[in-house]
Amino acid sequence: MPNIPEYTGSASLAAETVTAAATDTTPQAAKFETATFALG
Amino acid sequence: MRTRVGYAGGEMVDPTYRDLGNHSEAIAIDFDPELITYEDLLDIYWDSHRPTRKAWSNQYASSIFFHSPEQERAANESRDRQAEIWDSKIHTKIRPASRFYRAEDYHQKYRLRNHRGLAGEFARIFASDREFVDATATARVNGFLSGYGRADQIEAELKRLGVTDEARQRFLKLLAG
Repeated sequence: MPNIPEYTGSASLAAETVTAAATDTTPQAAKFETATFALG
Repeated sequence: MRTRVGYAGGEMVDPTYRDLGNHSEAIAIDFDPELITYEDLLDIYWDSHRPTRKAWSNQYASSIFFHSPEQERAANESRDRQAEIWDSKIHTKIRPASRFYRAEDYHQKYRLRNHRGLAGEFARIFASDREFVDATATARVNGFLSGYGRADQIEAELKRLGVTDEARQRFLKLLAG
């Protein structure tokens, strides 16, 4: 399989899972940016 | 990091897969710039398709939709580098981001959604389909199922994602097979 760079700190994954399940999934505006692409 | 696929760049209101007007199929990524930069995402974007190929339709056009002057500048610079690398015209359009319409649920996390065992595991974790789609964990596993990531990385992460040992073993067996 091809290698890909780490997208996130893995230590945050479990916390994100629990947080998303328990509360909401809205990114924190001050922390996250959005990128939008169309690949064709 | 969160991802969702959808339609962008066109004028049609509320496009659908069957009728998307002049929109393009697109992906929106919420990312933490302290963990991955926009420039890194641009590198992955360019590596993920052939930008010298002219699109047959708006649906499959290659575009970067920038959300800030900084993104616009980085996108233009990266496109110039791609033109040098390919020594050819780059057909990718660099355009201001307009409204992004989420695609229908059945398009979201497609690989994971079609893996019954794992999809069921995550369905139990998340209270709604929206939360399932928007979670970092599902984005990661969907990427693994699409063939990205290393085996050791996948195994280590699965232990932290909340899936049962049984599902994890099934997943690893699938990847090995």
